[in-house]
Amino acid sequence: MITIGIVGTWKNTGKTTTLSHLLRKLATNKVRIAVTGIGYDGEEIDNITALPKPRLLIDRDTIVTTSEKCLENVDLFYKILDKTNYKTALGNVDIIEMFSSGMIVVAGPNKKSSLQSFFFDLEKYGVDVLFIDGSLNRMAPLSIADYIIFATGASRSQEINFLAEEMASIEYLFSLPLVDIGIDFNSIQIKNSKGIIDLAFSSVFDSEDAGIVLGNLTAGYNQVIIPKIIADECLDYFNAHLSENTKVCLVVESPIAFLLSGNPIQTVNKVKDFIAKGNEVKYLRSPKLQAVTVNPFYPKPIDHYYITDYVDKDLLLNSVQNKLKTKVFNIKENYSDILPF
Amino acid sequence: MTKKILCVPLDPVHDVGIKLIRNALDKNGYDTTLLAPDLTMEAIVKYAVKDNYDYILVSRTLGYGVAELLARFNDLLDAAGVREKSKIVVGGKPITPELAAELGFDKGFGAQSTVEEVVAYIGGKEINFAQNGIQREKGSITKEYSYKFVNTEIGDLLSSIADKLIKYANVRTTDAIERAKIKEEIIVERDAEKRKVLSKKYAELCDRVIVDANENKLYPKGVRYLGDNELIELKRFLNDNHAVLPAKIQHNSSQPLVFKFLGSGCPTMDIVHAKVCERWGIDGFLIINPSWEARYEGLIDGYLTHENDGTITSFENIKLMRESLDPSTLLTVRAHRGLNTPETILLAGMAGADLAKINLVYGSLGAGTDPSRLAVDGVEAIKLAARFNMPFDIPGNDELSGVPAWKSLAGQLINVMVGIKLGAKPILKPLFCLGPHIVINGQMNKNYVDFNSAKIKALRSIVDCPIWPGEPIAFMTQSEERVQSANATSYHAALAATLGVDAITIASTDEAYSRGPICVTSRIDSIRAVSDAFKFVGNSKFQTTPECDFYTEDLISKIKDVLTAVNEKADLPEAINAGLLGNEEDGAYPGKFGKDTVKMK
Repeated sequence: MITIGIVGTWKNTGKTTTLSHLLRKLATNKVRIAVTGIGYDGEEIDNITALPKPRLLIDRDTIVTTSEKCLENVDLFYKILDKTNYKTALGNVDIIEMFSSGMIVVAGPNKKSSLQSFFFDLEKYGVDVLFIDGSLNRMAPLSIADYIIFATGASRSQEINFLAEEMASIEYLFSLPLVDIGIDFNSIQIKNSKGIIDLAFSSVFDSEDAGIVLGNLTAGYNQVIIPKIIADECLDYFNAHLSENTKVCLVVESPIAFLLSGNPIQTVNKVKDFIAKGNEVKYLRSPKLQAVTVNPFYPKPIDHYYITDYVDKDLLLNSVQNKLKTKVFNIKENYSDILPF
Repeated sequence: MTKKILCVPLDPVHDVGIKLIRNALDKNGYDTTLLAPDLTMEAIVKYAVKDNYDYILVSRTLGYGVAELLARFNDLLDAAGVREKSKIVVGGKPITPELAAELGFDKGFGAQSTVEEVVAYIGGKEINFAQNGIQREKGSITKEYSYKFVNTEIGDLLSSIADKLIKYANVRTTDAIERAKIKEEIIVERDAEKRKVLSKKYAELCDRVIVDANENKLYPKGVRYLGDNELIELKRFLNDNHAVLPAKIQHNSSQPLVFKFLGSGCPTMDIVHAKVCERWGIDGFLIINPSWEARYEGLIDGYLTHENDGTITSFENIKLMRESLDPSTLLTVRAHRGLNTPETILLAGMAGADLAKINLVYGSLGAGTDPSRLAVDGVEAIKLAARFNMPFDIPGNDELSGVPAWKSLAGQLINVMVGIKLGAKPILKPLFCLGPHIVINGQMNKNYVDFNSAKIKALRSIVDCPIWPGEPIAFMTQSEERVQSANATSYHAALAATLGVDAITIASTDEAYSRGPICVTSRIDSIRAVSDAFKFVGNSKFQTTPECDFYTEDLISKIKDVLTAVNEKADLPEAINAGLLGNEEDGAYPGKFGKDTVKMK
């Protein structure tokens, strides 16, 4: 089973439209498709801006996750394959198979561990491709996907150059290499001339944590495995305090660990500074950045409500594409070669 | 083991809500930690990682970009492994279950949620106070009352007046009484042929206009039959839509039930408005029928819509409205005037209405029905109300014609005593209004509290009976400005609440000066205004001035004088015709509809 996550840099960047196009694209292929989401997607009206939202049209035979409450008023033909114990704020998750095409709200397992076990659940239904719809700018659970498609656009910022630069930073983070260390650790591991040191905590949130890590490094080569979170403040600390004869191979969970800072441009500058000092950054896992979609639409706040507005769609597409090696698509046009198969 | 809870105000300003919740959790024995409101998200997540919290409660008011901030916070908790051990809950003003799901939280609490609801959730009870659909018990206005007369002197006078009236009515009958008997047979008869015969008999007692409508489908101008499609669509609407996060108007259980009028002419529009009002906490409705319905002998059958004011109170229309409302919502049908009083009460009772509206005095004075006719019909109507166990309210709207308050209250008390003697449950309905007599005589020049309070105090000193100021409260104090109208309603509602009355009727903010149908938003205006007023006064009281005591004594004294004069007459119709309960100078004229139609048995 191939797993493809669709991640947004912000709300309303076009995740649902991107997913709709991908589903349409595969409609004629003889592949068994499943769709899940880490939030709540496919509603008619945006929960925050109150503007109409693009709906998610799901074809018959597709397997979909949704919550019990979302099924209460659905006027479609479907079969419940499994009533799971995964919980959302709208009740437990049901796995259904569509017997007719139609609009449905997708809501599925919303944390990484649940999503991981959900992958195994789906195996028995012979799924070839699983699409995982992101929610707002959430991405933590999607670090376990095989591929990621990023959706960005004017909703994130109406500054096109900023959007291009931010996507270039994200692409940079996804370009860094993997390392195979065999097993997953639950705490920070430092390998150096002293041997293996287990720090008994799993994230570095601030300079205090970073100081403890630094205090355990030795001159020469150090491999530092941080299995959970590394905050920007820690990169600053390493950049400022690492001595010239101490070199670090920083192993983090995935590119998403860096993206959780919420400011990819700033984070990438810190990562580049770190690498420029002769250090390395590697990942335990990394989804492949498959494509980027750009959306010129944005909800423009006026007083206490929002109206629909757009930036120049061609300028947006070209500006982002010029900064990226990854293929960039306007969300409503030309989706050739977007999928990895 | 005691549950550990981390309370996180992820908001630099609004942390009151989370503090209230924390206090409630502490009182319930939970181990809580409240973080400072100025921490970075990374600092909060570090805190959450260090200990094993069962729940992390995050409080945040939503604004532009805040959804993304909450999403990132949730991502950090997920990536740090906190979500494996803690349930993450978000609370804030615009949070809905859908938004909480979109943000990836385990649970969300919004503006309508209560602290108790959060505590119940943490306790694993998951009592959902703010779920879809109305969740409440049907209110009772009459159950607390003994109907004993505290003022025995007035009680004795009323007893004498009521006995004479009942005696007067018992030897007389009218076509309306006969029609009510036939109509009951028609409704329960299953044999079509027999029903046809009964309908013919009914038609013989009706005016031509009514016969044309019932037999030939030639309806009065502006009336038409409600089509099957309209009824099907209404049913679909009711099936598909349920009150989301239903609100409650009362701030405490001693505050009055709140009623609104329905009477757009169209039962489907009434029902849709009613469903919206139910969601905002309205406890009951009064169906207002068209004024022309009171002038004709006989009632039109069927599902009927009417393009002008007033919804036709056919059996089918009342039943449709009753069945469309939530079972906990009270429904009142008015029959205080006109030529079909007993039949209207019968239909209301058989259709499942909860309450009725009868006033033998006001119906004969300000509302146009002949006093003898209404005396006979009214007694029968009260008997039917007793039979169907429908309490009846006694509107005092004769005050709006210019009748002094003491005469209006004396008239209401006569109805109370007749009701008691016939086994019914009457409800006093003094007006909270700036009526013409008050304007001329200045009882409310200094404030609106003293005189309205005096009415309630005077009635309480006379009889232990439920009181429901109407109709609506604040009548003639409202203007066509919606905010002013909402304010006026809310002040009077606050006064009613502090006086401990049982119910109030409130107008919509466009009702006093509406030149067309009332809009649903203005219905919500006044409901919200009253909700806030109830919260504002809570269990406190208004401080009246010594003038209130003076007015109270004055009302009691004048009520007694009026009743003494009424008792000196042979019967109630004679007293009404003599102007004892309102005369031409007061702006009250004995009604003429149904004159000379009363027959001796």
